[in-house]
Formats: sequence, structure tokens, C-alpha cells
Amino acid sequence: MKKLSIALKTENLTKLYDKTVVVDHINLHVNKGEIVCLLGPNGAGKSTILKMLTTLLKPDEGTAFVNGYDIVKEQAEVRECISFAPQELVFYDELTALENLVFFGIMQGKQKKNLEREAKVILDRLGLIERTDKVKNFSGGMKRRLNLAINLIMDTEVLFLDEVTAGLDPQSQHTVWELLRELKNNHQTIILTTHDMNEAETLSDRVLILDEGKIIAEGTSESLKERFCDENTLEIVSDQKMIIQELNKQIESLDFVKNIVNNNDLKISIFFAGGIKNLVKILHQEIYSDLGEIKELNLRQSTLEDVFLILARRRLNQ
Amino acid sequence: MKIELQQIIAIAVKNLKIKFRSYQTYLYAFGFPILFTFIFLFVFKSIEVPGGYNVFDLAFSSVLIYAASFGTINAAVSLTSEKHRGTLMRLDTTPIGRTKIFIGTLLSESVFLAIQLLSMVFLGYGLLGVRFHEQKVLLLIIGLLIIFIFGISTLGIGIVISAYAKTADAATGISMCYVMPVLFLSGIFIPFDSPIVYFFPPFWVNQIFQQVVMLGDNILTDSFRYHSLNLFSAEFTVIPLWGAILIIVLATLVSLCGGILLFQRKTLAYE
Repeated sequence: MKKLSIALKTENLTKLYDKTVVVDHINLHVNKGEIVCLLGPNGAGKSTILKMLTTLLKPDEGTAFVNGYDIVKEQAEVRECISFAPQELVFYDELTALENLVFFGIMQGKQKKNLEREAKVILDRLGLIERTDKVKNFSGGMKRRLNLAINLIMDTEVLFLDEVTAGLDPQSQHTVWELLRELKNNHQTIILTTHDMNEAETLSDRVLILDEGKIIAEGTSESLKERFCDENTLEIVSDQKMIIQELNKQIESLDFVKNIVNNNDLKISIFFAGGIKNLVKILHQEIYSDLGEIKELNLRQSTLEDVFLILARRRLNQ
Repeated sequence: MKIELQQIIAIAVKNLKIKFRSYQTYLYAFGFPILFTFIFLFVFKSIEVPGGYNVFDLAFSSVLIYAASFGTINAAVSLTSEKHRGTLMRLDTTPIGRTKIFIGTLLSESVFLAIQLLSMVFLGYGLLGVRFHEQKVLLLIIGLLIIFIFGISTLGIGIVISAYAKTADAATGISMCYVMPVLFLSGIFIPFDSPIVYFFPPFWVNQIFQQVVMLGDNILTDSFRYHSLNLFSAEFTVIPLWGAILIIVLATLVSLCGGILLFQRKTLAYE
């Protein structure tokens, strides 16, 4: 195994489907032990990137290196150090959870001797140890956990997880997060896609936001928030379009306001740093007389979801 | 045990577990052949033919071939399910490789075919007293080996079907559309006096089986006989019996290689 501090590196990674560019010259690197989250709307190219990095799809241009191995020229070596949990629940319904884990462990090249014991530990952690019946009788959440458990038994250096917590109850989701943090502490690298912004913010060291096959923003969730929306968000809901339009006009020129998003005609989100007093002053001056027509004022800390919405809105406007 | 061998065995064991935990397996692989056996027993047992046999003794080989033909459905369903449920894709991200997947699948299907044939042999020759040439077990074993080789060739057709079928149900349907016409056009169920039968492997398998097991012909020295209506008055052809067996073996190799190549071509890109 090549000893490198970089777990993953892509060089102009590109994929076309019928002449349509779905992944467009992606350049990224992921250090060992990092959790990196790919965010983006449906069709942004996240799953296609994962399929290329896991050797399921050949890039049309560029390449990538996983643990130093080329995904095009050294597929066998790449497969020895990766595991992939697809969006769909992929295992054998007619087998038990334990049988599934042992099977996939053997497929990854592990010796059968200790696999059963290791599998039982993982099933215990994920609350599946009691279930000795066929997987087809499991609930949706249990199947999701099993889908991830397969990656845990494979115990690879790099894990590609495609929306693995979708549909999990909050308790199971937190168990999975704990497990992923343990993997990170164990210097395993995780590339994760999700639509859950809270998950991305909580788990990842870095976030990559994709749209139309391109990386449109990259950084820690803190740096992204700072760049696009600063620390605070004020949401104003009115029952009159005019109020919102007037506010938009007044506020966009303020230097401490980083971004404004008109969620719809009756709601506006203002992203700003520090200057709440100034903002209140404007609100007071401009709309004091009409304050009765403002239905809701909501001041909160900005989140990664805000960044995502700002970028999505920006792309729409383009 | 070497890890490669362990992986192949794990695939085979997994396939067999899935197969034996599904009720359709019992219906298609055991239920229908047993049903045919009893129908043939009641219809043909009382009709005597030369050589001390009755028609049921002769017709039983066609039930064995019919059972072996289900290799097409078994392989088609097994690989189509693997494709449809996404497990093939997940396996393709592991170091296992397609070669071991195919070897494991062929191993499980061969074991299943052997279990199926032995069950039918037990029913026919053990319980229902089907007669064969001088009751020489060696002849029966040779005959069964030929049917076994044919069974393996049907797996190749199943692999071809799995390359195109999207779901296990579709694979079953397409397989039935292939298996039943082939069995009838080969003349093994209903005698069919036409050169068309030469194009269908079950004809060759049935003829060789009957020559070896019912007439006691020697595979090294005797020739292949053409018969469709009457085994006992059939004339020898210029093809040696071993040559006919070679045709079965070649057909098996062609169907397996062709099936695997086609499956690879159709399923290697996950777009």
C-alpha cells in the first residue's frame, strides 16, 4: 500500500452522458482521516463522481487517485482500499444481517475466521444483533443501518457513502454519526453525500457544494457561512409584497449585509454580521408605521443550509 | 484456505442459500419435473415397446432433460437479481472481480443441477422403477453426465438472458419463452420427424442418453443414430457417438463464453 497523506485527489475529472457534461473538470483533494461532504441539488453530479471514484464508471476526461492508485489504470488496487454504500439499499434480502456482513467481508478479502465475531460487534453497535431473521423482514431504518454496516465490516481506508442516513430516525442518525466520527479518529477517510445540511455541518471537516457538475463552493462550513452569509440571519415575513420589496431596496445597500434572499414574495432572509442595531434602525425608520403588516421576525444563527440556498438562488438567477 | 477459493465458495453458498429460501425454486426446479414424471407415468406406463421397456422408461429421459433445462431460468434469475438489486454493482467496488463472481455462480448452479438431477434419478429409477439397459449403473452414470453437461450449457443461455432482462420476473418469463419451444422443437416430448430437431441440443442429449442408457451403445465405437419416432428401428448415421458428445461439449463452451462476454459488455458501465 502506498503511504500518502492524501487519500483522494482528482485531476480534471469529467463525465459526459450523451454529450451532456454531468461532471465538469472537478479538481479536489481529500486528506487522510478527513470527512468531506458533497452537497448539491439533485442532478448536480454527486453520485456520478462517487461512481467514478469507486471505479464503477470510467471518466471521459481526467482521472483520480485513491490512496495514490489511479482509478482508471489501477482499479484492482483502488478496490482494495475503498468501500461504497450506494443510495439504494443494497444487500441480500434472503440472507440474515450476519450472513450479509460475513459475505461482504469475505468479498473485501478478509479471512472468514474472525469475521463473524467482528460482524456481531458491528450489529450490536447498530442495534441489529437481536435480529436473526431474513433482512427482508427488517424495517426501512434497520435496512439503512445494515447498508452502512456492510461498509464497516469491510473496514477500508476510504469510505464513499451516498446518502447513508436518509430516512433514519434521529436516534439512529446520531448512532451513525458517532460511528463515522470513530472511523475518522481511526484515520479512515469518508466522502459523504447528503441532503441533510445539519449532518454536513455536524460531521464534515470540509464541504464541497456542487451544481451542474462543477464545484461552486468549497471550505469548512464556518468559512462558507462567513463567505456567503455571515453569522446571523434575520427572516422577515409579511403579508404584503410591497413591504418586502421596500425592505429589500433599503437593506441591500447596507455594508454589513452580506446577502439577501427573497424566499418568495412574502418572505425575505437577510444575512449579516454584527450590525443588528443598524438593521433594527432601518427596520424602525422605514417600516415603523407599517409594522403591523409584518407577520414574523426571526433572528437566528446562519447555517450551511443558508449557504446552500444562497448559492442555489444565485445559479437560478444566472 | 486461500482467500480466492474462500470467496468463490462464499458466492456459491450465498447463491444456494438464496435459492433454497425461495419457494419459486421448489416450484420450477422440482415441482414441475415431478409433475411431468407422474403425468408420463400414468399416460405411458402401460404402453409396451421392444426391448422389455415401456414408453415411460423411454420418456423419463425427457423429464431429466426438462429438469436440466431449468438451468437457464436459474442462471438468468440469479444474475438478473444480482444486477437488479444492485449487489452486482456493490460487488464491483470490491476486489472480488467478475471472474470469481462467474465461477461462484457456475459452481452454485452446478451443485443445484446435481441435486436436482439426483432427486429426479431417485424418484424415477429408485422409486418408480424406470428400467435401463441390463440395469448397468455405469451406463446410467454416463448418461447422467451427458445431461449434466447439457445442464451447464443451459446456464450460458441463462447468462445471455440476464444480460438483457431488467428484473427477475422478466428473466423467468424470457427463459420460459426460450426453454419450452426448444424442448418441443427438439422432439424430446412429442416425437417430431424433421431435420429441425438437429438444431436443438436437447435432441442430441436425449438421443445419446437413450442410446447409451437404454440400448447400451458404446460411446467410443458406436455411431449416433437418427431417430425421432422409433428408437429401436433408428438407423446409424456417420457421426460417431463421441462426436455427438463433443457437439454437446462445444455447444456448452460456446454458450458459456458467449453468455459471459455478452453479460460483461452489457453490464460493466453503471451509467
